[in-house]
Amino acid sequence: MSGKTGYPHPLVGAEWLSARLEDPGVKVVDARDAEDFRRGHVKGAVSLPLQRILEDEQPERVAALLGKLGVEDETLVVTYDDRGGTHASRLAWALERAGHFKVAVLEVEFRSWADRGLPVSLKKPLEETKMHSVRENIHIVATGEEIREKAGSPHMVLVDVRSRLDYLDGHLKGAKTMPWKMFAGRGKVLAGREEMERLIDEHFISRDKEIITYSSDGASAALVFYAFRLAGFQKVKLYPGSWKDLMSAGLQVERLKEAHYRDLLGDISLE
Amino acid sequence: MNPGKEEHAASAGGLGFAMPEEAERFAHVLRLFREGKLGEDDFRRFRLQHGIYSERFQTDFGLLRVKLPAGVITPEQLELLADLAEVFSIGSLHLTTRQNIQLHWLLFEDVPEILRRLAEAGLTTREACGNTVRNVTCCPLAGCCPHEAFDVTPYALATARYLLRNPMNQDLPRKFKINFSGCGRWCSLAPLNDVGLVAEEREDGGRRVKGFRVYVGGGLGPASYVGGLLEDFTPEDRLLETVASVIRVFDRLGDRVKMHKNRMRYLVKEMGFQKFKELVLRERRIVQVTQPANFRLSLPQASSPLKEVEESFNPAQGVKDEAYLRWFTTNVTAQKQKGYYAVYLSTPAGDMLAQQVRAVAEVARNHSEERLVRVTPLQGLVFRWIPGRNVPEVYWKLKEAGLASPGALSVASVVGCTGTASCNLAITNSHRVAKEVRKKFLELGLDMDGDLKNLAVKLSGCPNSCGHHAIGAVGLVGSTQRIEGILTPAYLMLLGGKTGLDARIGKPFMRVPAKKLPEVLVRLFELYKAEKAEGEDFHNWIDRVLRGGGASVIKNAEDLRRELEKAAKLPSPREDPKAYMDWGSEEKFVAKTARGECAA
Ligand code: SF4
Repeated sequence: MSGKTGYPHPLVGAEWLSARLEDPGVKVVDARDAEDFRRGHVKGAVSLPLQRILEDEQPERVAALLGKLGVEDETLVVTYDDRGGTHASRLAWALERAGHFKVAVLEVEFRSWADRGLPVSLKKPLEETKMHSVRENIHIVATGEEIREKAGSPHMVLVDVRSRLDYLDGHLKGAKTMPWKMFAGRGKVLAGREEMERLIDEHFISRDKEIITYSSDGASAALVFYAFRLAGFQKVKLYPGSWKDLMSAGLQVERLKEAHYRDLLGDISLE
Repeated sequence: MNPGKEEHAASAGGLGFAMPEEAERFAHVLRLFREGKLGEDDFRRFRLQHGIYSERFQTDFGLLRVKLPAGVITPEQLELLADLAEVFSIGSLHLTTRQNIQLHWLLFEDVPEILRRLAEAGLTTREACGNTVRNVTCCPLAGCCPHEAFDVTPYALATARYLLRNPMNQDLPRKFKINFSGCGRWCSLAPLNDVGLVAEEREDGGRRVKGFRVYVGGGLGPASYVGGLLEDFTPEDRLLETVASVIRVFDRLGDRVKMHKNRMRYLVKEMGFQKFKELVLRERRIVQVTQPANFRLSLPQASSPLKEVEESFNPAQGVKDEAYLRWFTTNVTAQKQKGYYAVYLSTPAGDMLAQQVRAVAEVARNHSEERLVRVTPLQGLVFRWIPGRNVPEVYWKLKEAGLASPGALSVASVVGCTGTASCNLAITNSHRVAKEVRKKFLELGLDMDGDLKNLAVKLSGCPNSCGHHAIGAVGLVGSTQRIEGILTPAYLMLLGGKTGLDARIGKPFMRVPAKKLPEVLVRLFELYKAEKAEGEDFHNWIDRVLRGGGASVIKNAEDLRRELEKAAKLPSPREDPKAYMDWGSEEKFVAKTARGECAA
């Protein structure tokens, strides 16, 4: 499970997981809405909609939530979603931040898990409360303040994972544009390690850089957070807020001047 | 040659033109450039060779042109492009007048990965730009058109394949364009290309021989020319050697110094057509005796079903839905094969959203019996081989995707190059105004006016003519005009342009401020309708007026100009300062251009 970064490998395969559904050391956590969960989920999974975490991400609260779901400090948590892995990643990141280090994202969306005929259940799982300790991990969190301070530093790369159009409309000064969908694999939430390394190399970002990712919702940036980890980066941080939050943090925004790219967007009567 | 490797995506019916190694090579060369080991000019030449332009005034962003020989594309390829547009671009694709498809606003850094994915689907960007033979175009209806001598598609594809990556075609004095037409009717673009080939069949000793009328030396640009006839019949087995001979003469003698005079038409002009013709024919004898054994025309198998359906079904019969009937009348034509229809799709100046492109792929897959789509020179698409009974279903599917606007085969099919929305050379936003004009025409229902049926309004953002303005019935080229002392975006209007074998280059008539263009065009057509003689077409009326032989109100050019100027009058800058700005802009107009890479 351990990648060359010293972090656990951020992804687990569907086959790998399906063989461990009974393993008491593994807990599958469904990041989708409670309603989706009720309609069917990975057998043995517990529900923790991302939305619930986002209400309040204090490590104490997250640790308590984990405990309630029967997750102990040493349990391997595997998260999944139906949002291209963005919600599962964001959830995984929140757990890491609260000090739950052993966490991974399922390589496929729930849809494709079910399509492959892997075990699915409708039953509400038994939840047995366990104790979970709190060890806040601040090394993976980037704040607006920090982004401002490090702006322009040659050691840090700010990665804007929103769509190209959003980027052109305005982005943080100095940010690189790498829309999150470019990291997806075929039928997988992330491409393989080699492809990821190649993609990042081709954008000329070297391994020694500190990476800060941001997105419009904070979730897709979490997927890219794991993409960089997978490619072997050691210092990767997520700005967990939204683009709106970034704007209210008063950070410097760059725009293209006199660029009429919006006129390339189809029918004007659709505007 | 290793056939398995070279021919990618064989499933696309011989449409695979890709070479996966080119993605790796691009990555490598980009690295050299970024590391400062390769100069700016060398990198530019390299990326143009691989279909990448820079975006207007940008150093890091570019556009990527996917080369589609004969304009043919499969549903799977379209779906891939839609995905790429969403992932790497701004979520839209742009169809060009040379039947290519472009992705805009990519980082150069994105390109290797995109090329890799394109190659897997058999698509290439190679020689889509730069001083090379550009996309080989052909009639979008080839194989289905009632007027054609024969289907030119296989010849266009074979020529494209022969020339692609051919050493003879890597460093020409300037770009080089080839078009195949099925016949010489009004829609043919053959005489407006460096080499234009018009299908013709002849009797030879009791045998039917396929061949071409060959035109050379045509082309559109700051100075546009109609090509001259090289040979009135070149049999098909001499096709490639004839094309190659023209290219070789151009390569040897073309101007490599004066940037503005290096298209082949200037060479032809300078030495005289007769002399050029002799040189080419002499060259052909050399090519013949020195050609390698494998230099043969190998025609890809036609993938068309080439049959007729028994039942005849009239897709318009009994339908009451007016929107459908309007769409049917202005977007659908019967094929020469009984029972089949070709369904055209018009787009606002060539732009489509990724979602819409997916809908197009679906329609082709489910309703076209050849399972293909073609890009048209009017920046639109056409589905062919649609059985009559499927036509209504196609309409509903397109409508759902916002693609069933009427007017594809009408005056509302307005062409506009990318202009200031993308191009370094643009003076005006010809792209946006083309959409405005189209919208206005559709609102007024001009698409349903039979008198305006085959008229083309074509706009370019500068004299380079990527929007084909010189051959529009009304052509418009981006320019400026000082009005009330204010520099205002404007269009120079050309009249009298025409395609077909009797192609003509339009003549400058008057300047129109950009914001008044839609009104002025509407007024022009109103005047034509009011003044034309019974059955007189627009071209003839214009000719008559320009000769001073007009009737009633519009007697001559002066009258016409005076009338149009009324419609072109801007409110005072106090009343409406925006009237002096360009479409889509909120800023004071400035005419700014940068070094051209010549985008379409
Ligand atoms: S160079 Fe071509 S694309 Fe650019 S503005 Fe001129 S005509 Fe349009």
